[in-house]
Amino acid sequence: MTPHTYRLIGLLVGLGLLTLGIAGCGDDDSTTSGDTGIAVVDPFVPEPPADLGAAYMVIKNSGGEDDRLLKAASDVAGAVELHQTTMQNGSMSMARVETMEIPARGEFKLEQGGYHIMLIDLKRALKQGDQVTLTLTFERAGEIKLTAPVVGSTGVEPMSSGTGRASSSAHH
Amino acid sequence: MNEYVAVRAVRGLRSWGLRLFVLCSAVTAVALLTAACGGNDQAKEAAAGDRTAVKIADAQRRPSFVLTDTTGRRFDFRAETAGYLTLLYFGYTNCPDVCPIHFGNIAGGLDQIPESLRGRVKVIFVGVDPPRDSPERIRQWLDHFDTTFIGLTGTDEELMRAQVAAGIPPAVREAADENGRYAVSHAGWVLGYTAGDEQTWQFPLGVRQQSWAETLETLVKIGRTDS
Repeated sequence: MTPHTYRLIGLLVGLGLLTLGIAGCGDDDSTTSGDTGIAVVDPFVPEPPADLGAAYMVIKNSGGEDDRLLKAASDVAGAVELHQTTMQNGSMSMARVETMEIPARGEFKLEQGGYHIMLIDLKRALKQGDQVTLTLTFERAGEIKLTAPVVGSTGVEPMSSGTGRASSSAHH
Repeated sequence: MNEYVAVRAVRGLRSWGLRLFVLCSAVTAVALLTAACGGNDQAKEAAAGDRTAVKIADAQRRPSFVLTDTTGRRFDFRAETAGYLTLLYFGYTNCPDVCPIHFGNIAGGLDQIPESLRGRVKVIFVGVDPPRDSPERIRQWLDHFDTTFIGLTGTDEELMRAQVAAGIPPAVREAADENGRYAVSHAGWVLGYTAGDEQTWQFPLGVRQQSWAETLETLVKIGRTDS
């Protein structure tokens, strides 16, 4: 075999190992979009006390390029918006955000008291045990469809830090 | 980008042997795997960073204000809650994130304290968005968490007086978007007054149910001689 062939075999073996390795640590309840590297982990919707609610999740990006969540849609809501809760001088406020940036080899958290997907004008009451179908549209990864369970509102522990977070492990 | 890393590795290795390259690939794979899975641990650690209730250095007497409850009755806050451990929160029913978190956790925390103590706690939600916070809607919203929670609302002037009396930044209705929807910025914490106003507490967003339960069980005994 020529050195060129060695290199080719080595490259193939290396890529095979990478694929196995990345597949090996995936969470059971993640929703992954093909080979784009975007995966949604632990989505949930606390049982809404009124005709509006929020969806939370962690969006992981194992790819080498930043991605961006552009919009979300769901058939249970009249409107779905991307929102962020912020705290200023002790006052909480909420604002619509255009996009959420998912860093390359990192993740973005939608968590209570931070970034969330707001489900507006719910068409029916969501009860614990229901499943909410969400379609997220990313700039690079395109559409990802996922199912978020509705959980009891007293059964959810807060994770709030007051702000949403994006973190990256790209430079380790 | 994984391919790019691997291709660079190939170029760098030039004529080195197959075994060495496989070894390098394996090391790279393990490193990336560790980085990817390590992210999970970091996430869990960060998510676990909870908050605790804060005792205000100088105890305040519970505020005096009058609003209307969900049955349409005038409700004198100081008179109606005196002698009870009282939680007071100013929020709005179209609040999808912060308000349900607080009330879910208060309800969950109260479920954990002994029944004999539960009756000594009054929980008050003040809807600061009168255009949308009708008494019926507030009642429906609160019943989702606990049917004993008390809901109040009033005119903008009454609500302003109540918030100033409670010493919190008054809520502000934000500008409406093209669909007529608006958010309301409001104080993020729940106020707590022990039965005889011996202590005043602030519960920030992020207090866990277990912490609510422990704190409330301690506070409910303050100022009571029969416990």
